[in-house]
Amino acid sequence: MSQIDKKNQEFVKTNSHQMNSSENNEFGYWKSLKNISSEEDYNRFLKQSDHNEDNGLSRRNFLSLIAASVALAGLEGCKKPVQKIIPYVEAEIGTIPGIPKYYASTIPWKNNALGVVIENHDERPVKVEGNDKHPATLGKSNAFSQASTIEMYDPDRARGVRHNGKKVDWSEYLKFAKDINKGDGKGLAVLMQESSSPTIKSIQNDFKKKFPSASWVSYESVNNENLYTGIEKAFSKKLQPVYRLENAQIIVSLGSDFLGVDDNNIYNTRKFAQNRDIVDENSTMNRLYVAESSITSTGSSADHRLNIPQHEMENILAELSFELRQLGLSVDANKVKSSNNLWIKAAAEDLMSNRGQSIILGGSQLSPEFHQLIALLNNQLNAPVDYYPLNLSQVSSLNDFQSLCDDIKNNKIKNLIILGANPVYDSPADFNFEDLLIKVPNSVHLTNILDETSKLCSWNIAMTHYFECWGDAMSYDGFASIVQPQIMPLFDSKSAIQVLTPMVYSKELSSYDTVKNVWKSDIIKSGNFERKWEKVLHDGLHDIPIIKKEKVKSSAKASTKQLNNTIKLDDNKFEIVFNASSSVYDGRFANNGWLQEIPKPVTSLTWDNAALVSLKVAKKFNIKNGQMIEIKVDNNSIKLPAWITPGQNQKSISLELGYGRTFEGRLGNGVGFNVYPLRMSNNPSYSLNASISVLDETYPLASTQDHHGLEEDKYAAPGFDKLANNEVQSRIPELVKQSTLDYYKENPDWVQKKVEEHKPDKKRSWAEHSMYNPEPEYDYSKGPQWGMSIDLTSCTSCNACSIACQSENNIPVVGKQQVMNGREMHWIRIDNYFAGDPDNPEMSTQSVACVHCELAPCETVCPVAATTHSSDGVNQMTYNRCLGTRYCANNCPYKVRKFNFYNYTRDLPEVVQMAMNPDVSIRFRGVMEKCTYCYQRVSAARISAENENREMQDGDFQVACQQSCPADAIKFGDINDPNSAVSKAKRRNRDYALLAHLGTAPRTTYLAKIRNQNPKLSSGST
Amino acid sequence: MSNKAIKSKAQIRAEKLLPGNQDFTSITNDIAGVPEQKKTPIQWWLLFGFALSLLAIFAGSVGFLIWEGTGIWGINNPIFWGWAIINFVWWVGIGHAGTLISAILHLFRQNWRNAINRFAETMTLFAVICALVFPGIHVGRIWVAYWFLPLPNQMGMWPNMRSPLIWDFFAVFTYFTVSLLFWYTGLIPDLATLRDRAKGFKKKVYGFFALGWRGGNRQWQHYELAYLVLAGISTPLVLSVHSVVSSDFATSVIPGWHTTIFPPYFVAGAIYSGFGMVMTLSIIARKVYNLGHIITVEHLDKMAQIMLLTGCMVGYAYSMEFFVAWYSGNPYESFAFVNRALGPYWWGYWAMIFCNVVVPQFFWFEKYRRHIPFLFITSILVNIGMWFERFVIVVITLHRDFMPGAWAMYNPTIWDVSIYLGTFGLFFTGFLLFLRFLPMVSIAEAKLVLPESNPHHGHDHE
Repeated sequence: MSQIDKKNQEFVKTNSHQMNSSENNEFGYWKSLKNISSEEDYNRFLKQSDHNEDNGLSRRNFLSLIAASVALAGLEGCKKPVQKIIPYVEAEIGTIPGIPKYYASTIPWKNNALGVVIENHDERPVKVEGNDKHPATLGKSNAFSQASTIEMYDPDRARGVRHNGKKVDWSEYLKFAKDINKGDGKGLAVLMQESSSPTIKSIQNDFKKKFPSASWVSYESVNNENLYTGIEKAFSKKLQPVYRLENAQIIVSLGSDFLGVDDNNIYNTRKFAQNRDIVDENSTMNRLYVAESSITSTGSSADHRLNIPQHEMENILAELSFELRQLGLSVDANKVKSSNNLWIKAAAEDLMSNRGQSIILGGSQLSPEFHQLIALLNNQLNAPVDYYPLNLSQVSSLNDFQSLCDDIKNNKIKNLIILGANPVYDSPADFNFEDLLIKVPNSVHLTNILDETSKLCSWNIAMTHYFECWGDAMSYDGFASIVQPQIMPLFDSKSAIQVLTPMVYSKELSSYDTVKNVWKSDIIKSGNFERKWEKVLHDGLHDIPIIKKEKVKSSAKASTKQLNNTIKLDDNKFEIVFNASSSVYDGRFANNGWLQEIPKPVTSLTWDNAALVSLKVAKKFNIKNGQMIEIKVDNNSIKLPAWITPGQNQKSISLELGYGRTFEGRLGNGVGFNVYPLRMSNNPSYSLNASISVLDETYPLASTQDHHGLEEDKYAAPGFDKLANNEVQSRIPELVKQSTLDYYKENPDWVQKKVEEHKPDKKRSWAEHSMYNPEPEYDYSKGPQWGMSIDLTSCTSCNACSIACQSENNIPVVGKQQVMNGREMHWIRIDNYFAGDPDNPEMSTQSVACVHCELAPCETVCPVAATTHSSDGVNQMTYNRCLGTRYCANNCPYKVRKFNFYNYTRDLPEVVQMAMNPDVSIRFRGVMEKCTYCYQRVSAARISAENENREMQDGDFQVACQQSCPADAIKFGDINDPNSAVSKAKRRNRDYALLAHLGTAPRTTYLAKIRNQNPKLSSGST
Repeated sequence: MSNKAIKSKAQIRAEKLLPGNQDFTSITNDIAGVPEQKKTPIQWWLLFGFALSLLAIFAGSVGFLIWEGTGIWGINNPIFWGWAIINFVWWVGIGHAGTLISAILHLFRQNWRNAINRFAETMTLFAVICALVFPGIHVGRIWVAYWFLPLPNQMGMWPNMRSPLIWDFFAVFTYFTVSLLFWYTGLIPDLATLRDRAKGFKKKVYGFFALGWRGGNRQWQHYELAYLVLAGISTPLVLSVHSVVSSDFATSVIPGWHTTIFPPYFVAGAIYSGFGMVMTLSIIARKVYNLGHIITVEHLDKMAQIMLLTGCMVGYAYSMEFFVAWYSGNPYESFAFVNRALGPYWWGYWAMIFCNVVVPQFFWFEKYRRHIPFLFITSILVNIGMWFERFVIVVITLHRDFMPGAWAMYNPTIWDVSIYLGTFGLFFTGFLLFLRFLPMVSIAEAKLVLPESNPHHGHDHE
């Protein structure tokens, strides 16, 4: 049963409210405690609410504002919404106070659509979950979508319309737009981000008809253009590949981070993990080969990782092609032989012996020729990849963007409409877009925040968040998905549809009508439209795809000739690789506190980017963590701190995009270092011939984990700097139990043996060896008993769980300084361990939250009994009893308890408070907190089961981390129910408890990590 | 028998402990003369001014702590306890010498204690006050710290009696109460002496606290008995308080804390540091007040011997911890100790070893036990060493426990330091007020070592 069906859901969301807050850039935000706003600031903010100039926006007033509901659906787009003010006590029929409502919607992510279900409390969206009916999310989500709530409630968002810096009325813009409408479109250009919206496409078609001489350009700084071009070269048509990884037994990734920062990462991870869900030693699993220059989430999940610089990737493909040719593929390839031959040979053999179930994936940063060859090879391998036409999507085109720039340069552009993009910040440095933009007489910037581009545009229009407007998007495989408003625009903002329609149709159309009309004419073509439309609003998508899978035919012969495999790098030069950030992407999430503070996979860095350098380079240049270095390519240079990263290629330096912004976002302004100045149009993925010089200064970087794994311990006693390193190495197999599939098949009980190894009395359980109360207070054999299982084999350390937890449980953002002090509050911590060769380590990750010990060391030591056990086996914190001795946290062997050292929520702006989940209390300073197993969800499910006079069933509810996990690695439920998913997981022979020998009897257990290593390759990576 | 006076054993002892032909009058005059001084010595004022400014720092820092929260300290995840707990254990440890000197040595009839017991007891009181500050202020929500107390309330919520922090709280409070009673009981005859010598208002105040002491035979009999009983009650406390404090650590699961050797090892360490502090203070006081003939080198020598003994005990404990860590075969335990000695805080560990194990070895030689500047420096080193011992136990243990993913480093802040220094203000302000208004050496007990106090004095039985 779908989770949407389960909830009381209405077809049409009718209840929204408007809360306009006028300009104010002063009231506080929680970047650091230094900025704690005074009460005066706070009151000033309250006064600035349009509706409540005198009284301030109290909670009561806020509730009545909510009740100011729009009478009919879809009216939010109207210029003058007809509003009826109804007191909350007479709320909309069917509203039960305290019971959240769930609405299906869509996050338009570039030219993809991520179907979500949004949890609304008191008519405000507070939590995003995956929509299990949606083909791109399959009920799961990722860190970016989880963080989108806090993005909407960002008090720094742009408000209203500005013309030449002055606040003007929307009608002024309408006048301007109608003037354009009167012309023939000469000198008119639209620049927008990637999109797959059928409505925007339809407007674009009309735009092109109306203004034949105008141009419409899509540009995105992180894009798949090379991939599409490569596929076009291979199959003579631009196509969107969708990797059906559930059918792939062998995956060879050449620089592709398909599980990490990828536009379809939820789908990819979900399907990839399906083949890693091993039930017992007889199960099969896929095998992943990854070649990359810097460890990504994908690389850390690899069974065999090859550490090669980006510029040698084409050599690797050439070599792979040759090996494939030897094994019978028809490809024109000459013999090339490198030191990586063993890895390549093994990969090639695996690919060939699994034809039909093997696939090669290429990094989007690589050349079109590279992708062309991969597409042709995949075609010959009969790889499980489907291709879909791209003609309904707007994908980024560098050529179009360049010709737009040329037009501007030649003063051909009079009116430039920029929809959402931020080209001043993220376009190639050699375009000097900043200088060009000034030359455009009329420039309109639709933006969610006043940014680098807004400053230079004559018109600034606040852009609605996708929670606030009607819209649509299409998944890669053609499912049109609806974007439904959850709330009236908070900040007097407009959607792209509202900005475009007066220009194209000479009158402003409501987004609702526009979208509905497009769906009526283009999408829902048969049957009763209204009924189907209502179903779309309910499900979030139309169940018949609007584009069909293409049957591809090679239009070229697979050949390595076009590959550029002669690149040579001078000995003292480096390549620099630009990667989209796992936190801020291309810069768009720079003002998102949750994303800024989430530790990045691998480096665990927060609040900054750094130049990732290898250990060898660091030694050679005497670089320490945080050392400022200057990177010079040709005549451009940037300065940024270095971070020594295991698994980083020694010829390669990785740079993360999206930082060093200068905009009106108080959280993200000036955070990190801008690397775009080095990024040129001729090679936006990586640059060669970079030279570095080490500067004599250091910069403090906030990392949540010290990597004792591989670094030397610089403070240790002289001569013992390897002490911690050796210790960690010896602990990794204990903490993250792991083996190869072959070993597992031979020793199916190895995990259990390992756990039992040192037990003094084999007849008694570990819990019976515990020094703590051997007779638990409650009878755990009765009633539902909650437990969790985390599968380390499928976890990719993507951070979705951690942000989902943050959103669900109101976990505060503490700022860089506090993170540096080791006080980050995330309830789920992702530990990264590196073993083996520092240049190509085997990386193990483990997400650790409170494991809910049945015999909890924290409980005995609390002097005031603030942490106790519930009868259903959950270790609970009573916040208002806690006095903060922190003894529980000291005595926690897992170190999962987090302490409110300061009052981290004191200066939360009112708007941000709206993002808080009302089911979970906000913790005050001096109070300990930790994972509660989302007890609010347990309670809600128990109450509704009681109301329905039935027992709770497995799947009645999901905890936040479990719900979001795209790998489905987290199972949660009743361990007394033998048929629950969690019981089944715990019965697997890979199940083990962390630090079992302490006798704490944890309720969260782990499933050992299995790597499907090729026996032909020696153990370890490569 | 020759005419040459043969000194009795008692006389020899008396000359050693109270040299220079002293009698009851001279002792009374010398000791009572200090609080009776008309003009407060300038040195006292200087010291008092200094102590008061430290006290002001203390008040300011604690105020800021309450205002802002424990975030002003260097504590973090996983080092949830920092200087506050180190200082608590340190001050409680110092507070041990007082009762040990007063009670146990009294029971063992070690009369040499009489010159220093008042001193030591007073030091104990103020040290325990300093210690008790920390459990109160180190909690996250200071305004509900009274929840430690078993107060009846409408929720029926009692403290969790399984928590060592509760044991700790009771142990230290009991110790404080008994020490206060013991100190006051010992003070009664001296207060009467001061009352008898004072005039006017002072006489009334001393008289009030002297509880009508007349020095009669029956009073002395009752007094002696009461004192003996209190000494008997205090004696187990000397052993229990720090044993209980050590259970804060010993009952946990954390490697490096979870050891059975902690109670005796903590008691030995506490006595060691307590004697160090008594030594420091008495060397200063005998210099400032010219009491070299009452607190003699002999006393200092005896204290040095105890420090040698307890120093060796803690040294033994340190080596035994390593042995057991190795012998247990528990890799977490082994690493915890190796990390102490060789990890990033190795300097803290070796500072502890130097001060607590190496330095007292000089006391095997009489020359060093009687070299006052050397003793002074040593006594301070001892307390530095004992502070580092607690640093080693609290910080080094916590910074690397089971999960390397949660390992971290610890950096104290200015507020950690200022509150620690501030407790010295609290301590010295109290102690200087004591020196100014009360006899720093027990007048009655100091006289006990004089031959005249022997009931058989003057009666030759030979």
